[in-house]
Amino acid sequence: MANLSTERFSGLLSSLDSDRVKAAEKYVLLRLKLVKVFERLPAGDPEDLADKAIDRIAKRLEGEPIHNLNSFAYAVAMKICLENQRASARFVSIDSDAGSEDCLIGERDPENRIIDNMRSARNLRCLGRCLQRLRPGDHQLLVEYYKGEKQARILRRQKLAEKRSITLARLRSEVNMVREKLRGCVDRCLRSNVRERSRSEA
Amino acid sequence: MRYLLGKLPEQELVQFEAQCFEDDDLFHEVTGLENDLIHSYLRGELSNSEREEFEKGYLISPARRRKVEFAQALEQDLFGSNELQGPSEEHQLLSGGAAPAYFAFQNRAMRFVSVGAALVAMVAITWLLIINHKLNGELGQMRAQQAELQRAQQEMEAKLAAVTARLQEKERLPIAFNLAPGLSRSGDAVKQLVIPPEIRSIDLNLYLEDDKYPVYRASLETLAGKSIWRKAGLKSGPDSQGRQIILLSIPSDTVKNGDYIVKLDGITKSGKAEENIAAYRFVLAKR
Repeated sequence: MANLSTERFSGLLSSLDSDRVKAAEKYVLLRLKLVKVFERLPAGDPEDLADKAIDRIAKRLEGEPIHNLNSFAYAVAMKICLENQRASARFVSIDSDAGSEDCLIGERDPENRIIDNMRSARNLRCLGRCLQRLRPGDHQLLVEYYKGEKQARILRRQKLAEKRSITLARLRSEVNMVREKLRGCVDRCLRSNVRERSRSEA
Repeated sequence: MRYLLGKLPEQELVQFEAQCFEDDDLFHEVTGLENDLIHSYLRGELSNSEREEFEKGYLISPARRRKVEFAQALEQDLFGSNELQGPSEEHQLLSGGAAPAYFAFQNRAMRFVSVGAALVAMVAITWLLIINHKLNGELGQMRAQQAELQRAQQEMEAKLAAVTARLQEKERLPIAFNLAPGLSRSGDAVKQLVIPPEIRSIDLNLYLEDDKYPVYRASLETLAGKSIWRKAGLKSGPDSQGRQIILLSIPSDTVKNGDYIVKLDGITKSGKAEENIAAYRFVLAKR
């Protein structure tokens, strides 16, 4: 979550919508859009960078109103991308001289396999916990939405939308939000597990 | 799709992303497409060329790779066990609270269908038990093969380390090793670092699972807890695969052969130290 003061956060919500509930929904969506931009960067945590962007947007709103908030938010995101790329360029990885004669080209470092296996097991454990926190129908919604192969999946989704009396676009956005909520929960679970394990092993 | 696979020129990419910020429906459509693409990739629904495009064009950042890992876990949870349950509607009819209502029928034709369905279910369950038994046997064999492979891998690592040492002896380059956090990893040996005795420094790439601090502090200790060497003011950075690491250079004359632990403390912006956020174990052998 962005490290905003209550007043600044309130100012940001008011700029998004006069209705508090709608403003909160728009805030969540704006944050997701920012995260998606930062996800394609080779370095940096997209969640932290999104917090940074939100902080700058909220700060600017204190000084003056912003005519087109979405457009401004994207401009802030682009600036942060540039800053991130400049900061990353300062680090020279040891592996960057892989083309030199002195490096041995061969099997991938076995430590990477251990790291990947550790992450898969933790992902599953955290996912299990987070799925229990979903609303009753949301788990089944995900099953129904992603079930089946290719064409069958598309037809299934159309039927699912009809059954719920909503458009396919609306169904898609609902599933996206449930999925992002789940992914955020898993991410927080993974981060808290890392700290707990380090303390117990030390 | 070109956006997701990194095929848009810079100007078009900026225009497209700006449009996604303005149009919520478009954003959700792209997000839905992205998730579908990931699931198709995991299910093997992509052709070889599509798969290659996805791996080269989409999996370009740690965040996107984590998305695929999440989707993989989701696939396993949503469909990993469901695959064995047969047609979902029929399964629902034959189990749980729906069963009494289903079997409370009067029609003769429906009675025939339900008996047939029960027979099909029995055959399916028997077949699944046989398959399960066979898979258990195969699993045992695979575990034995895995143990053998691990032994062979350790031998290979020792040989590679020896060759590395010989190659680098002439140039006197520092040797770098990757270390994953964790002091006990079941089934996996502790990382062995084999170095020539005259090497100047031992560079360790400490993998960070959670890079939350601006600055870090590392201390090198024996297993008994004796502190040998410390380094403060460490900052993280990305390796060639975009994973966050801390590069730690230990002067080789401070350490002898033996078992060591590197303990990492995180230093917050206010200067407060959060101790032991990660620990890395290794065994050093100078040859």
